[in-house]
Amino acid sequence: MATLETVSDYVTQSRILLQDTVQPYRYDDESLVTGLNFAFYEIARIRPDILINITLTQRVAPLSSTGDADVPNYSTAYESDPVYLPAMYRVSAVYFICGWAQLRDTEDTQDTRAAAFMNKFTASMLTLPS
Amino acid sequence: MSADFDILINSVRARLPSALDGVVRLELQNVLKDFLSESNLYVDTIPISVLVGQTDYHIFSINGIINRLMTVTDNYNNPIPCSLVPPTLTVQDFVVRLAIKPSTAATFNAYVALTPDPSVPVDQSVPDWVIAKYREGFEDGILARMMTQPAKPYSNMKLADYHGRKYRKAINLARNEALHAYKFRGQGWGFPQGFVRSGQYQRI
Repeated sequence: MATLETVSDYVTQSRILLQDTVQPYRYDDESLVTGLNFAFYEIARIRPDILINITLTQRVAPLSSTGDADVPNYSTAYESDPVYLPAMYRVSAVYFICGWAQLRDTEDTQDTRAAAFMNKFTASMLTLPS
Repeated sequence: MSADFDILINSVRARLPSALDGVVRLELQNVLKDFLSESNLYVDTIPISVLVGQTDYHIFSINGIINRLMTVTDNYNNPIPCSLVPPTLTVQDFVVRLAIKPSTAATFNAYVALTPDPSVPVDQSVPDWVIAKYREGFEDGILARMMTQPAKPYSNMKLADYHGRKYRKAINLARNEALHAYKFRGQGWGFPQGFVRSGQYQRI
Protein backbone atom coordinates (compact mmCIF):
# COMPACT_ATOMS: atom_id res chain seq x y z
CA MET A 1 0.00 0.00 0.00
CA ALA A 2 1.45 3.31 -1.04
CA THR A 3 1.45 6.38 1.17
CA LEU A 4 3.13 9.76 0.97
CA GLU A 5 5.16 10.13 4.14
CA THR A 6 8.87 10.17 3.37
CA VAL A 7 11.10 11.65 0.68
CA SER A 8 11.42 8.22 -0.89
CA ASP A 9 7.59 7.90 -1.09
CA TYR A 10 7.43 11.13 -3.08
CA VAL A 11 10.20 9.95 -5.40
CA THR A 12 8.50 6.61 -5.96
CA GLN A 13 5.05 8.08 -6.63
CA SER A 14 6.48 10.72 -8.97
CA ARG A 15 8.20 7.97 -10.98
CA ILE A 16 4.86 6.22 -11.43
CA LEU A 17 3.25 9.36 -12.89
CA LEU A 18 6.36 9.99 -15.00
CA GLN A 19 6.23 6.39 -16.29
CA ASP A 20 9.83 5.97 -15.22
CA THR A 21 9.75 2.89 -13.01
CA VAL A 22 12.39 0.77 -14.79
CA GLN A 23 16.11 1.24 -14.16
CA PRO A 24 18.20 2.95 -15.39
CA TYR A 25 15.89 5.84 -14.53
CA ARG A 26 15.36 8.72 -16.92
CA TYR A 27 14.88 11.04 -13.91
CA ASP A 28 17.39 10.35 -11.16
CA ASP A 29 16.60 10.71 -7.46
CA GLU A 30 18.59 13.94 -7.26
CA SER A 31 16.38 15.75 -9.77
CA LEU A 32 13.13 14.50 -8.20
CA VAL A 33 14.20 15.54 -4.68
CA THR A 34 15.22 18.90 -6.15
CA GLY A 35 11.67 19.12 -7.51
CA LEU A 36 10.35 18.43 -3.99
CA ASN A 37 12.52 21.21 -2.53
CA PHE A 38 11.36 23.61 -5.27
CA ALA A 39 7.75 22.63 -4.54
CA PHE A 40 8.23 24.06 -1.06
CA TYR A 41 9.53 27.34 -2.52
CA GLU A 42 6.33 27.58 -4.55
CA ILE A 43 4.20 26.61 -1.55
CA ALA A 44 5.87 29.38 0.48
CA ARG A 45 4.93 31.83 -2.26
CA ILE A 46 1.31 30.89 -2.92
CA ARG A 47 0.23 29.19 0.34
CA PRO A 48 2.43 30.46 3.19
CA ASP A 49 -0.18 29.28 5.71
CA ILE A 50 0.86 25.68 4.99
CA LEU A 51 4.27 26.44 6.45
CA ILE A 52 2.92 27.84 9.72
CA ASN A 53 3.96 25.55 12.59
CA ILE A 54 5.79 23.24 10.19
CA THR A 55 8.67 21.23 11.62
CA LEU A 56 11.62 22.13 9.45
CA THR A 57 14.04 19.55 8.14
CA GLN A 58 17.09 21.61 7.31
CA ARG A 59 19.79 19.26 6.10
CA VAL A 60 21.45 22.16 4.35
CA ALA A 61 21.47 25.52 6.10
CA PRO A 62 20.22 28.32 3.84
CA LEU A 63 23.07 30.55 2.68
CA SER A 64 20.99 33.65 3.09
CA SER A 65 17.87 34.54 5.01
CA THR A 66 15.51 37.25 3.84
CA GLY A 67 13.44 36.95 7.01
CA ASP A 68 10.56 35.46 5.05
CA ALA A 69 9.06 32.02 5.45
CA ASP A 70 11.61 29.29 6.01
CA VAL A 71 11.10 26.19 3.93
CA PRO A 72 12.28 22.66 4.66
CA ASN A 73 14.84 21.11 2.35
CA TYR A 74 15.50 17.47 1.64
CA SER A 75 18.40 15.43 0.35
CA THR A 76 18.84 12.12 -1.45
CA ALA A 77 21.18 11.13 1.38
CA TYR A 78 18.23 11.07 3.78
CA GLU A 79 15.37 9.64 1.76
CA SER A 80 13.66 8.23 4.86
CA ASP A 81 13.13 11.76 6.24
CA PRO A 82 9.43 12.58 6.71
CA VAL A 83 8.09 15.34 4.49
CA TYR A 84 6.04 17.71 6.59
CA LEU A 85 3.06 18.48 4.40
CA PRO A 86 -0.57 18.34 5.52
CA ALA A 87 -2.36 15.29 4.11
CA MET A 88 -4.60 17.32 1.80
CA TYR A 89 -1.65 18.85 -0.06
CA ARG A 90 0.68 15.87 -0.46
CA VAL A 91 -0.55 14.79 -3.87
CA SER A 92 -0.15 18.39 -5.07
CA ALA A 93 3.58 18.20 -4.31
CA VAL A 94 3.83 15.07 -6.47
CA TYR A 95 2.24 17.00 -9.35
CA PHE A 96 4.86 19.72 -8.95
CA ILE A 97 7.75 17.24 -8.90
CA CYS A 98 6.47 15.62 -12.11
CA GLY A 99 5.90 18.98 -13.80
CA TRP A 100 9.33 20.21 -12.78
CA ALA A 101 11.01 17.04 -14.03
CA GLN A 102 9.25 17.18 -17.38
CA LEU A 103 9.97 20.88 -17.89
CA ARG A 104 13.62 20.05 -18.45
CA ASP A 105 12.81 17.63 -21.27
CA THR A 106 13.21 18.96 -24.76
CA GLU A 107 10.54 16.93 -26.53
CA ASP A 108 7.48 18.97 -27.49
CA THR A 109 5.10 16.33 -26.18
CA GLN A 110 6.56 16.66 -22.69
CA ASP A 111 5.86 20.41 -22.58
CA THR A 112 2.13 19.80 -22.61
CA ARG A 113 2.36 17.23 -19.81
CA ALA A 114 4.66 19.52 -17.81
CA ALA A 115 2.21 22.40 -18.14
CA ALA A 116 -0.67 20.13 -17.17
CA PHE A 117 1.13 19.00 -14.01
CA MET A 118 2.09 22.55 -13.06
CA ASN A 119 -1.47 23.78 -13.61
CA LYS A 120 -2.82 20.90 -11.58
CA PHE A 121 -0.42 21.78 -8.74
CA THR A 122 -1.46 25.45 -8.73
CA ALA A 123 -5.15 24.66 -9.03
CA SER A 124 -5.08 22.16 -6.18
CA MET A 125 -3.29 24.68 -3.98
CA LEU A 126 -5.64 27.59 -4.68
CA THR A 127 -9.05 26.28 -5.65
CA LEU A 128 -11.61 23.61 -4.94
CA PRO A 129 -13.10 21.64 -7.81
CA SER A 130 -16.84 22.31 -7.84
CA MET B 1 -10.22 20.12 25.48
CA SER B 2 -13.98 20.32 25.88
CA ALA B 3 -16.60 18.60 23.74
CA ASP B 4 -17.79 22.04 22.61
CA PHE B 5 -14.31 22.95 21.41
CA ASP B 6 -14.16 19.72 19.40
CA ILE B 7 -17.56 20.47 17.87
CA LEU B 8 -16.41 24.00 17.01
CA ILE B 9 -13.24 22.82 15.24
CA ASN B 10 -15.06 19.98 13.44
CA SER B 11 -17.84 22.32 12.27
CA VAL B 12 -15.25 24.69 10.83
CA ARG B 13 -13.41 21.81 9.14
CA ALA B 14 -16.63 20.69 7.48
CA ARG B 15 -17.34 24.18 6.16
CA LEU B 16 -13.80 24.98 5.03
CA PRO B 17 -12.45 22.16 2.88
CA SER B 18 -8.63 22.01 2.78
CA ALA B 19 -8.22 24.55 5.60
CA LEU B 20 -5.37 23.74 7.94
CA ASP B 21 -5.98 23.16 11.65
CA GLY B 22 -3.10 25.46 12.59
CA VAL B 23 -4.65 28.34 10.66
CA VAL B 24 -8.14 27.61 12.07
CA ARG B 25 -6.69 27.77 15.59
CA LEU B 26 -4.82 30.97 14.75
CA GLU B 27 -8.02 32.60 13.52
CA LEU B 28 -9.89 31.28 16.57
CA GLN B 29 -7.32 33.11 18.73
CA ASN B 30 -8.00 36.31 16.79
CA VAL B 31 -11.76 35.80 17.02
CA LEU B 32 -11.65 35.12 20.77
CA LYS B 33 -9.62 38.26 21.40
CA ASP B 34 -11.95 40.38 19.29
CA PHE B 35 -15.13 38.80 20.71
CA LEU B 36 -14.07 39.15 24.35
CA SER B 37 -12.65 42.62 23.83
CA GLU B 38 -15.93 43.93 22.39
CA SER B 39 -18.35 42.04 24.61
CA ASN B 40 -16.60 42.35 28.02
CA LEU B 41 -18.07 38.97 28.92
CA TYR B 42 -14.96 37.45 30.50
CA VAL B 43 -14.60 39.33 33.79
CA ASP B 44 -12.14 38.62 36.58
CA THR B 45 -12.40 39.94 40.13
CA ILE B 46 -9.11 41.08 41.62
CA PRO B 47 -9.01 41.94 45.34
CA ILE B 48 -7.01 45.05 46.20
CA SER B 49 -5.79 45.72 49.73
CA VAL B 50 -5.98 49.50 49.83
CA LEU B 51 -3.81 51.49 52.20
CA VAL B 52 -4.51 54.85 53.76
CA GLY B 53 -3.45 57.67 51.45
CA GLN B 54 -2.26 55.45 48.58
CA THR B 55 -4.03 55.80 45.22
CA ASP B 56 -2.04 53.51 42.87
CA TYR B 57 -2.29 49.69 43.01
CA HIS B 58 -0.71 47.18 40.62
CA ILE B 59 -3.11 44.53 39.38
CA PHE B 60 -2.50 41.31 37.49
CA SER B 61 -4.78 38.49 36.35
CA ILE B 62 -3.66 34.89 36.02
CA ASN B 63 -6.73 34.14 33.88
CA GLY B 64 -5.91 36.31 30.88
CA ILE B 65 -4.78 39.71 29.64
CA ILE B 66 -6.45 42.72 31.26
CA ASN B 67 -8.30 44.62 28.55
CA ARG B 68 -10.58 47.04 30.39
CA LEU B 69 -11.37 48.11 33.94
CA MET B 70 -15.10 47.63 34.48
CA THR B 71 -15.34 49.04 37.98
CA VAL B 72 -13.76 49.10 41.43
CA THR B 73 -15.97 48.62 44.46
CA ASP B 74 -15.27 49.23 48.12
CA ASN B 75 -15.93 46.79 50.94
CA TYR B 76 -19.66 47.79 50.89
CA ASN B 77 -19.82 47.04 47.14
CA ASN B 78 -20.14 50.74 46.25
CA PRO B 79 -18.40 51.84 43.04
CA ILE B 80 -15.29 53.95 43.53
CA PRO B 81 -14.12 56.62 41.05
CA CYS B 82 -10.95 55.33 39.46
CA SER B 83 -9.02 54.81 36.22
CA LEU B 84 -6.73 52.19 34.74
CA VAL B 85 -3.14 53.08 33.81
CA PRO B 86 -1.74 50.77 31.10
CA PRO B 87 1.72 49.21 31.43
CA THR B 88 4.78 51.01 30.11
CA LEU B 89 8.19 49.72 29.04
CA THR B 90 9.39 50.00 32.62
CA VAL B 91 6.18 49.16 34.54
CA GLN B 92 4.87 45.77 33.39
CA ASP B 93 1.58 45.67 35.32
CA PHE B 94 -1.64 47.59 34.90
CA VAL B 95 -2.20 50.10 37.67
CA VAL B 96 -5.58 50.97 39.20
CA ARG B 97 -5.55 54.64 40.17
CA LEU B 98 -8.16 55.69 42.71
CA ALA B 99 -9.43 59.24 42.30
CA ILE B 100 -9.76 59.77 46.06
CA LYS B 101 -7.17 58.77 48.64
CA PRO B 102 -8.60 56.05 50.91
CA SER B 103 -9.07 57.17 54.50
CA THR B 104 -9.09 53.64 55.94
CA ALA B 105 -7.38 50.39 55.02
CA ALA B 106 -9.82 47.94 53.43
CA THR B 107 -10.18 45.34 50.68
CA PHE B 108 -11.61 46.69 47.45
CA ASN B 109 -12.48 44.63 44.39
CA ALA B 110 -11.39 45.52 40.87
CA TYR B 111 -13.54 44.00 38.10
CA VAL B 112 -11.55 43.72 34.88
CA ALA B 113 -12.61 42.46 31.44
CA LEU B 114 -10.06 40.01 30.05
CA THR B 115 -8.93 38.81 26.67
CA PRO B 116 -7.20 35.43 26.25
CA ASP B 117 -3.52 35.04 27.04
CA PRO B 118 -1.89 34.30 23.64
CA SER B 119 0.84 32.22 25.29
CA VAL B 120 -1.76 29.67 26.44
CA PRO B 121 -3.08 27.04 23.95
CA VAL B 122 -6.28 28.43 22.49
CA ASP B 123 -8.49 25.62 23.83
CA GLN B 124 -7.33 26.41 27.39
CA SER B 125 -7.32 30.19 27.14
CA VAL B 126 -10.98 30.74 28.05
CA PRO B 127 -13.36 28.86 30.37
CA ASP B 128 -15.33 26.05 28.76
CA TRP B 129 -18.65 27.83 29.33
CA VAL B 130 -17.59 30.66 27.01
CA ILE B 131 -17.05 28.25 24.11
CA ALA B 132 -20.20 26.32 24.99
CA LYS B 133 -22.44 29.40 25.16
CA TYR B 134 -21.15 31.31 22.13
CA ARG B 135 -19.89 28.46 19.93
CA GLU B 136 -21.96 29.48 16.91
CA GLY B 137 -20.68 33.05 17.18
CA PHE B 138 -17.06 31.91 17.25
CA GLU B 139 -17.74 29.61 14.29
CA ASP B 140 -19.14 32.51 12.27
CA GLY B 141 -16.15 34.65 13.23
CA ILE B 142 -13.64 32.02 12.11
CA LEU B 143 -15.50 31.37 8.86
CA ALA B 144 -15.70 35.09 8.08
CA ARG B 145 -11.98 35.62 8.72
CA MET B 146 -10.89 32.50 6.84
CA MET B 147 -13.08 33.25 3.84
CA THR B 148 -11.61 36.74 3.47
CA GLN B 149 -8.10 35.31 3.07
CA PRO B 150 -6.95 35.85 -0.52
CA ALA B 151 -6.31 33.02 -2.99
CA LYS B 152 -7.31 30.07 -0.82
CA PRO B 153 -9.54 27.18 -1.88
CA TYR B 154 -12.07 28.44 0.68
CA SER B 155 -11.93 32.17 -0.20
CA ASN B 156 -15.49 33.43 -0.60
CA MET B 157 -16.26 37.11 -0.06
CA LYS B 158 -20.02 36.66 -0.32
CA LEU B 159 -20.16 34.02 2.41
CA ALA B 160 -17.57 35.96 4.44
CA ASP B 161 -19.96 38.90 4.50
CA TYR B 162 -22.84 36.64 5.59
CA HIS B 163 -20.84 35.05 8.42
CA GLY B 164 -19.35 38.41 9.37
CA ARG B 165 -22.83 39.84 9.97
CA LYS B 166 -23.84 36.82 12.06
CA TYR B 167 -20.62 37.20 14.05
CA ARG B 168 -21.32 40.89 14.80
CA LYS B 169 -24.82 39.91 15.93
CA ALA B 170 -23.38 37.29 18.28
CA ILE B 171 -21.01 39.87 19.80
CA ASN B 172 -23.91 42.26 20.41
CA LEU B 173 -25.94 39.51 22.06
CA ALA B 174 -22.98 38.53 24.27
CA ARG B 175 -22.35 42.15 25.25
CA ASN B 176 -26.00 42.67 26.21
CA GLU B 177 -26.16 39.43 28.17
CA ALA B 178 -23.00 40.32 30.11
CA LEU B 179 -24.33 43.84 30.73
CA HIS B 180 -27.52 42.39 32.22
CA ALA B 181 -25.55 39.85 34.28
CA TYR B 182 -27.15 36.95 32.35
CA LYS B 183 -30.49 37.66 34.00
CA PHE B 184 -33.68 37.63 31.95
CA ARG B 185 -35.01 41.20 31.76
CA GLY B 186 -32.56 42.06 34.51
CA GLN B 187 -29.70 44.44 34.91
CA GLY B 188 -26.17 44.06 36.14
CA TRP B 189 -26.30 47.19 38.28
CA GLY B 190 -27.34 46.83 41.91
CA PHE B 191 -28.32 49.62 44.27
CA PRO B 192 -25.32 50.46 46.50
CA GLN B 193 -26.01 48.62 49.73
CA GLY B 194 -24.43 51.37 51.82
CA PHE B 195 -27.28 53.68 50.88
CA VAL B 196 -30.18 51.28 51.34
CA ARG B 197 -32.88 52.62 53.69
CA SER B 198 -34.80 50.06 55.57
CA GLY B 199 -38.35 50.52 56.82
CA GLN B 200 -40.95 52.96 55.62
CA TYR B 201 -40.25 56.61 55.22
CA GLN B 202 -42.41 59.52 54.15
CA ARG B 203 -41.42 61.70 51.25
CA ILE B 204 -41.60 65.37 52.21
